Amino acid sequence: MLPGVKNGAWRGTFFVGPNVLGRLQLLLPLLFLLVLPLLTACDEDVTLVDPAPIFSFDPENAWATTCGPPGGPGKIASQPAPTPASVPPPPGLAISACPNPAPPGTPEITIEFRLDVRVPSVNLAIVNSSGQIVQVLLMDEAAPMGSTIRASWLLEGITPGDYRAYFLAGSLETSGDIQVQ
Amino acid sequence: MIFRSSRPAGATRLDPSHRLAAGFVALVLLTGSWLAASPAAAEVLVAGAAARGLFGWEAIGGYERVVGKQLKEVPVDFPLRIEGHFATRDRVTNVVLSTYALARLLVPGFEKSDFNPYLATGPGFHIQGSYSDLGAFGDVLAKGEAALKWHVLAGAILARGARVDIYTEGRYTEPSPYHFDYIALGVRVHAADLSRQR
Repeated sequence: MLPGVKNGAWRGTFFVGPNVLGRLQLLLPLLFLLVLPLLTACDEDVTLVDPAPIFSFDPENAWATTCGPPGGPGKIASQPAPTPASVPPPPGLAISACPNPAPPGTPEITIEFRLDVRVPSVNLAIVNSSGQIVQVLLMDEAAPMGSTIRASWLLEGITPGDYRAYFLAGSLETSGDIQVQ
Repeated sequence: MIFRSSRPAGATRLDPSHRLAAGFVALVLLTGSWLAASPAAAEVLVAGAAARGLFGWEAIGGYERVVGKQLKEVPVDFPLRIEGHFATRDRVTNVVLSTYALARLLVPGFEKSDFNPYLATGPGFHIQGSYSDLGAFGDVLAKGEAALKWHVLAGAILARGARVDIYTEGRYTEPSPYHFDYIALGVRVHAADLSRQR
């Protein structure tokens, strides 16, 4: 009799008898050997203690990069043509984020927007790839129709990586990928 | 004008819940079958852990059975363990369902002591799901994935009781950006051994 299999112990099980159980025990060390080669194909980036990355930077999910000059009033064309790889905003909203991707040493990313519709308030937040809100740029702020509004995301202390900006103004909802290099 | 949803590909509300649910069910059935078939004693684990990464902590619940008895000459046994991990912070929640097939070395010299250190190693298969509710920012994000890892567990029974032991355990994971990823402190409750009652 195999170690650990007491006489009659198998009768308490639902699925297998003693012979099958014995084979399972013998298979366990083999399982170890079989699994080892599979580990070479594992994704090292997957941590088991952090959330799974919810997104990664995709230029097709980035807003246009047509911000106004730094320090001056933002100038967004009435409906700026999105760059070839950018997500078009919903009707009534012109929005851009610059620079994006942000090269190393970039002090801030500017998000400019103009609404051509009346909205009760505007919310704008930056979310990291784990789904955590890392900064709230605008929270229930008033946004007059037709005026350009600029919000700056200061990058001091921000870890390089992939982020996503979420914009919500009434029924207008959009998001754009941002990369900090 | 093109209207595009604010939810880009890869961040949909339900994606990938179906695959995750199917994987969860399959894992529970497979592990449950194997655990139910094993004739040895079972233990229920409840612990809190200081963890690396975003959350800094985890709650752990587990069920462990030793397949077969300890080897005759070497103090090694083969526990199978199914474990759930839960952590949440800043509206982000992370849940991991883990199964391990371990070889555990009971460190010699502590047989007559209430303190019993051990080392264990073996593969673990993990299904991980994370969930984030952005609230006023208009979205709910969910993502899941599966991973196969190799683990080394170092732990000890700190105090042994008739029904409950206090234990601590640290986990080393390979491959992973956080190799030493948590240290846990909790209790092991000795479940009824049905096979011995028959």
